[in-house]
Amino acid sequence: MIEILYALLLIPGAIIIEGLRRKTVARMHNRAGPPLLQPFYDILKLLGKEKFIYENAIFSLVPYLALFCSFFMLLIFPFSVIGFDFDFLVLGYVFILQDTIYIFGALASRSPFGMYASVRELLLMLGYEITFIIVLCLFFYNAGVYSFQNYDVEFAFAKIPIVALLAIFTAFVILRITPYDVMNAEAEIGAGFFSEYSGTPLAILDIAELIKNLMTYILLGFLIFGKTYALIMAPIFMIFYAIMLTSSARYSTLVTAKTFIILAILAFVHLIISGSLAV
Amino acid sequence: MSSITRSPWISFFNAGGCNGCTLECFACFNPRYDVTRFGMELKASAKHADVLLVTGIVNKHNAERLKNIYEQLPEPKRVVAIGACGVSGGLYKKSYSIAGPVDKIIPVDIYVPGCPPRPESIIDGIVKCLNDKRTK
Repeated sequence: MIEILYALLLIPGAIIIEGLRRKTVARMHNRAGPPLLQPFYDILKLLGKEKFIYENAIFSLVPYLALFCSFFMLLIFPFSVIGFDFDFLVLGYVFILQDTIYIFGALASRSPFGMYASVRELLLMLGYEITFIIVLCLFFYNAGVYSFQNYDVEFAFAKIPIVALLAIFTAFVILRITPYDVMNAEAEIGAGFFSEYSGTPLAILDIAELIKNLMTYILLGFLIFGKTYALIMAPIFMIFYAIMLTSSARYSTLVTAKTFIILAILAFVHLIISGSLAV
Repeated sequence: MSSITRSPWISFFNAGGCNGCTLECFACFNPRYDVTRFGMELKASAKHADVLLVTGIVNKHNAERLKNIYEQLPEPKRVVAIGACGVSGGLYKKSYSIAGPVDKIIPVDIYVPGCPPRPESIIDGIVKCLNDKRTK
């Protein structure tokens, strides 16, 4: 039962993490930045806006389907609510399904901006989703298990550093960090997928997106640092990707490599001190 | 109703003119003036916005588009007319191709004069239109 409480606490957690992210980005720009609870105010405002009635069933269903995907992620990861203990690929499928649902919504809206965003997202999906599934498979192959509940490898990046690096780079695409944000390019294609949504549906899409971002941070911590450190590493990954977002693409690549090397050295030091590594 | 004072999202429409006021509007979002600290955000789609900033004189071609964009904003919404052209017609007042200042086409809440107005006065105008009596 306690897992349900934890999973419900992750929803305000996702909103506060987004507030912290905006604050971090603002500090990188040398700005004061919005208040910490700004995403919460945004969602409250959107819920109070005028409601339009749409005739298109797919278009009106898409926000609720996206929210369903996010809640499904909360049910299976990182705490197993209702004893849900399927294998790790289910989480990969749900991540992919959410992006596919956005594409359906944008195509159903018949907005040219939404269509451009869909085509770009489809092209990008060909690349990153295969990598994402391969990364998941490799981590679980390393652990020798199939479900999240039995995954007990800690500091996996010390053993499979290249896979950990791949995971960090794949998360760039999932989080839409600068080199891979072609589907959100505001100067070219307006608001992208969400061009035609307003009010309550937009608020629901926002919540779904925020939960997905938080799950990405937790998943990275879970895979790379282990179950114990998953929730502690989530804000650290958030700050890392916020810094990536504000820097140029080449710079972020270099910083990723440097961070990775530093982390690998620290992990080896930890392994040597704890005596798990026979030198 | 008062919730839009916490997070006013902003959309632009340049209805015709020299683009000077639009550049001053964009200057509000840079680190020097930083309106994001009030929760304001620049939104590309009018359907997400609460405040519509209209710059420039409205020419005959853009009058229909302006009406269309105004109708896309969900209630509650505010309109701010920016610059001498948007407020009164300014330099282009007697031109043959204009449909009039902004308030002839759509209802306007706040007028920000100047050619172009400084970012401080634009921020002041937006804050005033959010804090007027009808908003509370």
